Amino acid sequence: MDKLKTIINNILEEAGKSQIDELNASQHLQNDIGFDSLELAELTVNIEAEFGVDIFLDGIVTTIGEILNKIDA
Amino acid sequence: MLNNFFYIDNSIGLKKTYQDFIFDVNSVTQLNSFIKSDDYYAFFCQLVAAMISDSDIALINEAYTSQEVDGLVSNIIFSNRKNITINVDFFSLHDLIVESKCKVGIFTSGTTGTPKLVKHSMNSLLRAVKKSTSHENDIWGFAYSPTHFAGLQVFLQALLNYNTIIRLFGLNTSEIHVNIEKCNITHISSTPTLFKMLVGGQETHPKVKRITTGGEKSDITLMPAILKKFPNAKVLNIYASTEAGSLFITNGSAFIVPTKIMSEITIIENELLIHESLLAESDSFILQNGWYHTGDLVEIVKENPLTFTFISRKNEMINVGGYKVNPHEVEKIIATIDGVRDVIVYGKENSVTGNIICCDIVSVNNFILNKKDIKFFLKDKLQNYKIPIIYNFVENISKTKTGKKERLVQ
Repeated sequence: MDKLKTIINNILEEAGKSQIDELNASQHLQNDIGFDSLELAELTVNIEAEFGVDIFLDGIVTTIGEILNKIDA
Repeated sequence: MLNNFFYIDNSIGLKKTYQDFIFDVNSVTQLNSFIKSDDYYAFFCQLVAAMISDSDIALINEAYTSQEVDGLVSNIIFSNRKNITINVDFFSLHDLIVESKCKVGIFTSGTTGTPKLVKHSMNSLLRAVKKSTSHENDIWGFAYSPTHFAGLQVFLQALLNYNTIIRLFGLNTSEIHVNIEKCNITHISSTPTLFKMLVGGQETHPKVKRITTGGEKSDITLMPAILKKFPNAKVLNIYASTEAGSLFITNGSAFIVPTKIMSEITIIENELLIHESLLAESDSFILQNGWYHTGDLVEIVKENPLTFTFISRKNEMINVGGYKVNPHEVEKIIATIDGVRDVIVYGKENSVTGNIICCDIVSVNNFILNKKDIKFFLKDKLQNYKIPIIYNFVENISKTKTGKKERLVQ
């Protein structure tokens, strides 16, 4: 979870958006974290580099919980 | 019907009826040779005034920087103003637009170099527009920039049927969902990338009757998610280009060439070719024996009727979420950064936006460059989709035997 939070906060920081203090499974990537489509694209790249999983490959991912399921699978 | 809404933007509390719109169009007394505005209502008023007065007009995306606009205005279009007098009413609006001799210019990035102007006649713009009583209660979610060919199509489809247009472009996904329900939107047209943003979550939109996707290669894995989110919608994918307008539609992944344009479409060595008779007007089209090479690689599924699926782009343009990025343009700007000796920009496939932009940078000896500073520099010089996401700092950039950079799409 910490690595994921770091990845997310790096993207938010570069985009000039507020960073996240805590992650939880129910957080929505767009509505709660504030990602747009380009930032989600960057998220997939960075998660794949860290965890070896393309989280959007098999379908749409909308929450932190869905990301964690794919990383842990 | 005069009191029917023409345009609604809930993000700024704007609601304009057709009566308001007619009044405001009639109030336009001067036109520039181009329109650039993020005030879509004002944009539409000027555009319709141009059409009714048979005045050619160029459309410039609101995201262009002043520097880029100066380049377009000085090199491609002239900045001049003309006085006009408009006298339209609700009932004459339709015919005046359909019969207009106006040419609407849209910029396309072309294959390399600076943006090129492509001028569409009303015939070309209206080719795919359907006017009928079955469309009179359509409510359109407007999810493209009106300077994009697809945006013009949606605008004209809605206007000529006296439908309501609800602004969705530029809103976040929460706001889009709220607007779809609050405004009873029945029709939405946008890119696969936008629909990927919309299909998450449990809520559905049963009132939406038609979804149209376009602007990027369609993603077949997206279809079940769209049908779940919009359970009563018919879903179509449209092939349209800035150069030729709307040409083909499909409800799957295979496009069928309509009979009426069969003789003007051909496929040679897997590349889609369009006959010049279908093209808009431009100084920049390079034709070979009357045929325009689209650079789209396709696979023939059936010969008769000619049916094909889209495979990929042939040339160097990179499609990021429906927006075309010219890697040379991005390289030119990165190359101006202190400490950059050489740079190459290329695309990499991405499950969210189709492609993302990457760059390899060679720095001047002992110069330390970092991604954050480069991105900050690029922020006010390039639209956000053109700014690279991946930065590799390398020792050298490989070149072909003729000295060209090897730009491999990954």
